[in-house]
Amino acid sequence: MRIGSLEDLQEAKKKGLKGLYPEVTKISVGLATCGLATGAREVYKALAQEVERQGLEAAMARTGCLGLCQKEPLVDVLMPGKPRVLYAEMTPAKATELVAELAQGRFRGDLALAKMVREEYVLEDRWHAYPLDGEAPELEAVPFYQDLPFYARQRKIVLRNCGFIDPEDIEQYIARGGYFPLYKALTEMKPEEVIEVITKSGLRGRGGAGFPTGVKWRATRQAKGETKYVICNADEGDPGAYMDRSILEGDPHSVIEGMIIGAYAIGAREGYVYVRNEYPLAIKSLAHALAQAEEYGLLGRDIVGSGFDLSIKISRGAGAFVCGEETALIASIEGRPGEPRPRPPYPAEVGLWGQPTNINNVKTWVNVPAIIARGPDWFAGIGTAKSKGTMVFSLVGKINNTGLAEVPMGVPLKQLVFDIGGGVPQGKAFKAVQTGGPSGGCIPASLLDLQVDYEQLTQAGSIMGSGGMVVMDEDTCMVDVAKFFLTFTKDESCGKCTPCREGTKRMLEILTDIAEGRGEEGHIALLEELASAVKDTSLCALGGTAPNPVLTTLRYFRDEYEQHIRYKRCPAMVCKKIIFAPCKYNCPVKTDVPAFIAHIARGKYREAFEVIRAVNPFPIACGYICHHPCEDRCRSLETGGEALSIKGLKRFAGDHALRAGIKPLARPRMPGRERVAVVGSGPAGLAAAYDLANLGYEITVFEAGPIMGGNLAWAIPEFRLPRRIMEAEIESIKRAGVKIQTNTTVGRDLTLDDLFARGYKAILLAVGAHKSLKLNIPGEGTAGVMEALEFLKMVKLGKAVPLGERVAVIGGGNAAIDAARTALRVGGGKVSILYRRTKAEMPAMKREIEAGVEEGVEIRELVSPTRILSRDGRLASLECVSMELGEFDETGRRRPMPIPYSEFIMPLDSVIVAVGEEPDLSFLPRDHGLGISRRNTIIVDPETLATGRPGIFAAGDAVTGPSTIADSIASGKLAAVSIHKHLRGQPVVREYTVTGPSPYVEPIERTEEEIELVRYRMPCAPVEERVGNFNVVELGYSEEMALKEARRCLRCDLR
Amino acid sequence: MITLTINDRRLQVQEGTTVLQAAKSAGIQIPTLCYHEALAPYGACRMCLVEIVAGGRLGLSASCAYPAQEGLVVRTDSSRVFKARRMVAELLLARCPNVPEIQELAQEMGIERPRFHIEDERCTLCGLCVRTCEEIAGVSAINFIQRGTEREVTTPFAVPSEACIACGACALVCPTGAIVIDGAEEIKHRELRLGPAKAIHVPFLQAVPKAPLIDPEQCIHFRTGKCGVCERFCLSNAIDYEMEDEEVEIEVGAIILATGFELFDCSRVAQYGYGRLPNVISGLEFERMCNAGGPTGGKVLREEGRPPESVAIFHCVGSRDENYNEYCSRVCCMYSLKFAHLVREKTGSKVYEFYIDMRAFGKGYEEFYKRLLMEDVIFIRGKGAEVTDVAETPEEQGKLIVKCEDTLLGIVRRIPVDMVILSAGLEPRRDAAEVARLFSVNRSKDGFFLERHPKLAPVETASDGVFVAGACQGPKDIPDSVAQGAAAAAGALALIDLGKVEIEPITALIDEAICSGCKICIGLCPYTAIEFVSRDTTGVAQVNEALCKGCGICVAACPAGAATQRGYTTQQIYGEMEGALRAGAGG
Repeated sequence: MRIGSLEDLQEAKKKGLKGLYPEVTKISVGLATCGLATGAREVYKALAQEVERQGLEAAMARTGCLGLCQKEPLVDVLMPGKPRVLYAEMTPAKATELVAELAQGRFRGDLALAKMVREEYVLEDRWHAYPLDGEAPELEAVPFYQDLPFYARQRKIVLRNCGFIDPEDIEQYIARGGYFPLYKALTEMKPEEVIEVITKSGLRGRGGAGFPTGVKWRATRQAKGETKYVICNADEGDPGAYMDRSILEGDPHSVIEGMIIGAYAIGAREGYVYVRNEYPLAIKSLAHALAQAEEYGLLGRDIVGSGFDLSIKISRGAGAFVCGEETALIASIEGRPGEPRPRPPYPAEVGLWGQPTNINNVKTWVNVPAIIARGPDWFAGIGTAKSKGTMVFSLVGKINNTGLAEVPMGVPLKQLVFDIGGGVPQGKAFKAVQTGGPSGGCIPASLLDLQVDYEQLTQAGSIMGSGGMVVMDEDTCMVDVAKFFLTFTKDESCGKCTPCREGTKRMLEILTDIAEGRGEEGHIALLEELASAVKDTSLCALGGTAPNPVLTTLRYFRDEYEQHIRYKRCPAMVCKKIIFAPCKYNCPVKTDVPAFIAHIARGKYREAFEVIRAVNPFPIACGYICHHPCEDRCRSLETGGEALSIKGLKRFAGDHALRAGIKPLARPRMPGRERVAVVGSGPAGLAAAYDLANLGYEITVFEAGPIMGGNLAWAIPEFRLPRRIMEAEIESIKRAGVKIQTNTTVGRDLTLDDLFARGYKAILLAVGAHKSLKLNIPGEGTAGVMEALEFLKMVKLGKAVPLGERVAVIGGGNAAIDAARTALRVGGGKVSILYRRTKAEMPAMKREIEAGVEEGVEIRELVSPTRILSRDGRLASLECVSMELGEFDETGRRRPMPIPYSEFIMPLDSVIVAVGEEPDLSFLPRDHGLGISRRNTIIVDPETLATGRPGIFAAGDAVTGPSTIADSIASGKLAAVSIHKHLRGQPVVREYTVTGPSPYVEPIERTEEEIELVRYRMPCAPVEERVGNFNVVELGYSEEMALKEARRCLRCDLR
Repeated sequence: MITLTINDRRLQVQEGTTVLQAAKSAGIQIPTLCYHEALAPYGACRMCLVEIVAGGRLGLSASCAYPAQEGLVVRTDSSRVFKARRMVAELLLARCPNVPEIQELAQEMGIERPRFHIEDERCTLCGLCVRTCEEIAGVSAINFIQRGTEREVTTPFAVPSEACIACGACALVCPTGAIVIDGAEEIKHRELRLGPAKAIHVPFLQAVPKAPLIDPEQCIHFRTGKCGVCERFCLSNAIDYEMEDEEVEIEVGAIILATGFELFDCSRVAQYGYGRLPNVISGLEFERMCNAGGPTGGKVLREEGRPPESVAIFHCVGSRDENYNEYCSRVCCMYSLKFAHLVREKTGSKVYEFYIDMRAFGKGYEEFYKRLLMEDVIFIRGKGAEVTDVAETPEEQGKLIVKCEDTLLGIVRRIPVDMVILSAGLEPRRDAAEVARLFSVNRSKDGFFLERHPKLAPVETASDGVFVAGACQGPKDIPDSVAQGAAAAAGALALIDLGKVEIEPITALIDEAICSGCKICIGLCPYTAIEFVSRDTTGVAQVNEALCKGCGICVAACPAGAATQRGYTTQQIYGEMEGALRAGAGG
């Protein structure tokens, strides 16, 4: 059939409509690349087989991609008289079940993703409603297509047909209004008029640079040349962008139609589609469409009888990124190496074979028929002031709804990521999004409100590019991201011009140095200078945009670079050469975790213990109560399993040592080494004392209280850390030569000057943080309100604390949980924890929260106390307000906001306040000469822990405020190093090095099957046995369990 | 004309000019690296960046490729430009820290040391060679392979390319010396034989007129149809590729033949190893070596570049030898002696002269020979028998060994030397026979032109008005050649001065009525005195009486009997015979 008149077109449309809405059930399967990759072909086969087997009168059809690639394979069922139903994530098995139901005239509502009762005909400006004969009851619960968050905010112009038509059927394309705009343009409009319409519409190049399309067309039309060319740039090379492919696969005629209209306007007689050979399906689909268009008289000689001729050829590229640059693309079509040349002259004047040439991106061409059909004003009404129409984005990376989304220009980034994209998987925090592929930039969470259009993106340092959006979560290292993209652009640089070839290489070298811990001060400045120069001086846009990832990450995540350079830290724990094994890296005291686990796996428990004790003076206690950051980034998590129970294994090694009576050797004092005084016998003080004693110093620890061990000894409940453990630890520390003087309060019994006078050459203040913070609400002093630490201490010391029936603990930290669980044990009444955010945001250890809940602690989320009400001078009730999570703050957490007028009253007998502590520095004499911060901590040089007074250092919670045992030990150890340097007359500076590899321990051999994904649960006393006593809850691994758990270690230290 | 502004200066330039050219014409310096006047703009090195401030694509652009446009406003001196160029230079210096051109460039921009990792490349990837090979040589024998940082210039698959015409243009254009033509180290001795290497050259230093010519054998334009650089760059528009050899007719009254000689080709004496063994060179090559403007700059050097410690000079190569030429070439003894003197003077090395006997025949020559005898030159009477590089003793290792019979000592000797100079003899030119025929001149047995009489007419030939001078007549040295030349000139002048020529009394005559136009006589005439002239229906032979010597060959050969000899017609002979017989009978 050749189309020569409007009637012919109408005729084809009729036929096409029959194909779109047949009189029988139609089952379409999305067979674009994304579908095929998830097994759509098998689904299609299974459906077809089953239809035949069941004798179902149904038409099988193929279609393109609907954009929701995450949920492929998608199957779309259209039963006459019923809503159209979309099934997601189909498998051959599900398909079989589906057909069985369809044969009964029913739908599987449980498998359905959405239902559709109408679809938009963009070119005809109307909605096609399906004739319904009453809704199927099984579909009632299925959401409407237009209500799916992924689709609700989309506006499909470019993707208008993708997933709705059979790409191989030209009549279906015509049925949805296709080729009518072509007919209109060629028969009713002069070329100049077409250009005028496009210019007026404000359409800009969708390849990324955003050059006004009408202006480009006009320039090519006005250029002098024998032959003119139009080219469709389908050389889509950005990692993470695939919308051009999807269009060519799902709706090739829209590209062809756009090109014909453009060629007519420009005066071109020949056209090329430059598409990369790695898109075989797109090429096949396009070639088929070209042949079909020719057959229908829509391409070739005398198109629709207008006298206009155009031939379009496919030119296949080998997949070089640079060939997306127009002059390189032209060179490639001409058969020369794909290298760009300087412009001007622009291709509009000197292009393919030296003739005027107009190159537009796939999406630009696809917009053209829509603009001709609906008029320029309609198009200009969509989008922002300078960026008109829609943009197709591919959402990839750490995002729930991977796929293609078309939205009007100017949609806030937040909507794209969270509403359409469904946010970040696994509840991780959103960190940044890379727009525009490797040439684009990283846009941070703080710019989530950015309205995405050409101008805004450019202002943020990125580019629109082809619309790729790579979403990154908190586990992404921005130095690594910059490195990744730069590696790509470096590899893809054609190498013609100096800055791009040499500059990208040098940038990558610097980034690699930084990422591998060889970064130096000045590297950032050099990188910035180089990146700006490469951007400014490169020959083509590849080099001109290659530095964008570097520049934007430097702009928004400079701190991460500095961490890498200055502190040899990779906050996201990605850069392998800095972190080696993440467990060791993340351990505040740098325990050689892989080594001790390997020892356990080999049955060498004593060696394992020695590895732990080598850096940790509390090797046993840490096995009980460490907050184990080591486990957070265990590589077993990345391979789909659970993290190793490193704490459990440490506990096993510690218990073994305890049983076996392994004690450190006593070390004599080295002659000539000075006396050092340590104030406070908490973990920080004792850690420093232990290390200094091992260095040969004479150490005296002054403890104000009667018990040694600080919070470890009297704030941690007995059921978590028994007293005997601490006694054993302190015993070992004493063996190292540390003298401990209890019941001696420095400041009262002895001044700092007294200590110096007695020959102590250095003093370490490690007095902890024991002063509880107030709620700062009315009635706080009322009887029945107590501080968590005070409460825990009294219980631990065996004093009776009357609590009453109803107890509320306020706070979400470990102290709050400990207090609640202790309250449960001493009171036996109802214990609630009130927290202003949700459980997910609680800073306490997850396992402890769970244990508390098991034991019966009630956790009330999103509640904040506002007033304490008393009766007869004693606590009666607590007034609280409900909270809700509001906007994201700069930490990426949502800020709790009080809900107005949501106050309520809780009758209570006791309130335990656990909202934090600060150091109690009242012991210091008035003229102590030390700096005190607003948070009441001792001000020190954070690098060395030296105070303002020579010879006096401070460490632990006294400096940082409340922290963990591991952090306190680390702080004490750092103080020991600084004191040692100070006493030896060396410059007191902190040296940062990368976390080195662990000492080599031969790995055990194990089979694939032995690598278990699930960790051994820590055996715990049953809940009923726990309540009412203070017996230790976690029982520790048996030897068999420990061996097996240790064998799960992936030994990533041996990489 | 286009008006643009560069650094606040308004300039008028032709359409098609680039910004770089415009700036240069105004004396504004812009550094370049990948730019070459002979090549299309490439815009790759980014050294020539300028800032387009208005009227074009704003920002930094490569001036070499940016077309001058009406109203364009350009700055070559903004801080943005300097910063950009500095970074480009720094990046290049990091890549090529040991290339003087880059060092200089970097130094000009105040860069001491690059702040990046340092490599040691020679090639800056400017692409001049690649583009020269494509645009100038037209063969594309080399190109870039790989891309990005892997990019390098090479031949296909990095093996010697068949497409390469070894023009050497790539090496010539390379600014950093990164391209080395394979075997260029040996070029010194090879050049001795090649003569002038460039396609455009003045034939020899003393050429008159001293104008260069294009050697079509070597010229890339004639080989590939490309290049044409000389035409583009010749300020006087003197290059014309269409120019061809043309024939001109000059009417003269006398001709002097002074076509000279040809040097004996030493490679014919296979046992001497010329052309096979390095360091066996001909006398002429030795002369080139001694020339201060020659390939070695006037130094006597072995092939590998060190001076020889001992040199053998062979006399009579191709002369006085039954296998080649029996005659003596007259000049070899004396020039061999000169060589010995030069070698002693330039290198102080040992010199052996292998001679049959010493022919120092001219004025002062014997004295020179005697002087050489005092200069410690070793004279060995005996012809060199063979030159070999097959050593028999450690002393001979790495040397050339001359085998000869020392006839004075009566022994066969092996003498190791570092260099052998072959004193080649003189031969008639290859085309001597052709020239002789052209001018109706005879040649003697040895092939040199024959004078009419060795004593009475030493510069004249059998053809009247044709004279000979110099070595074309026989081997002779310069004084003798000059003397003969003067004599020939005098002879020619005498003829011209006379204003007429005496012709032979007896000449041939062809009766046009009888001549059938068979042309047999024309080919036979040794003096090219018979022409073919057309008559009504056919043509006939006609004798030029000024040329005819009356030899009678045509008369004897004419099948129709149309040719007769003046005064010797059949009737006249009969008459003469009759008279003789009558007289005899009567008397």
